[in-house]
Amino acid sequence: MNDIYEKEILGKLDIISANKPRIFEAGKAEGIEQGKQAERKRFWDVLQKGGLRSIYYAAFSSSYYPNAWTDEIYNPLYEINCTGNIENGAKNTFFASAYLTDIKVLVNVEGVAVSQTFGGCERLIRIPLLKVNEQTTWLNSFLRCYELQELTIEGTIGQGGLDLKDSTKLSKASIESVINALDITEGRPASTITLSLAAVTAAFGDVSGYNDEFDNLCASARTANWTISLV
Amino acid sequence: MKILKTIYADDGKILTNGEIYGRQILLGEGISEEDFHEITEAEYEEILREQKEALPNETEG
Repeated sequence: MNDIYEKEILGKLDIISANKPRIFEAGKAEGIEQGKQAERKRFWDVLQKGGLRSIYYAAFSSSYYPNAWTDEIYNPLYEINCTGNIENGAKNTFFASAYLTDIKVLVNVEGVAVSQTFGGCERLIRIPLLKVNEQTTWLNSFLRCYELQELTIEGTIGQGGLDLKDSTKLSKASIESVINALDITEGRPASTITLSLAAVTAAFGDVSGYNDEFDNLCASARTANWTISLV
Repeated sequence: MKILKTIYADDGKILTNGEIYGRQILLGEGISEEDFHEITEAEYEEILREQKEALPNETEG
């Protein structure tokens, strides 16, 4: 009886021994991957100061491949909070970052100048959430954002000059998000935003005459002194 | 209540009041149609080119 059990045990030990190298390699690979992820997390934790960084002047700018920021290496851990400096907090943050397609996290530009922030992001498709307030200002913020489809605004747009004319693929939901964010306080000064006529037409149909849906969408803003230019 | 007007540029033209540019402009309450005139698309492209030249160099970030 003992011989049978001994044979069985030895057989199982042989199987384990035969698989040891494979199990070791798999464990090693997993360990390496976990190490890489830890390094990546550490990098972003330092770069974003544990989430406390609040000035991102030119932080992710430049399009010179292979040193450009790409979707693969751009993996922020925390939201991009640009509120630490009115002039430079968001200035050129992603300027000319022509290989990024997705901003991935909330970008907070409350009270600061969105100065060329996404300008030159020619492949950018998605800005998941842009947090603004009535003091946020705009200058070439989305220049050459030719592929931009998704832009969701949180907060209220109070300053004119927001220009999305290059974003001919902007989605209907994004156009609605922008227009619905416009400040409609009574007595506010005359201001303008610019949208792509192609994007608006794709979203709402022919707007060359009265378009019930689009005109209703814009009505409150226009009454509050917003002019909406379509280029 | 004031009727809100939309103005349209002729084909190949862009409307402007010197600050606002557009093929079609949904006027806000405080803006008058009389302030706008047409320019050619070529003139508009030239204005855009001048604006882009004023931007920082890409290498400077």
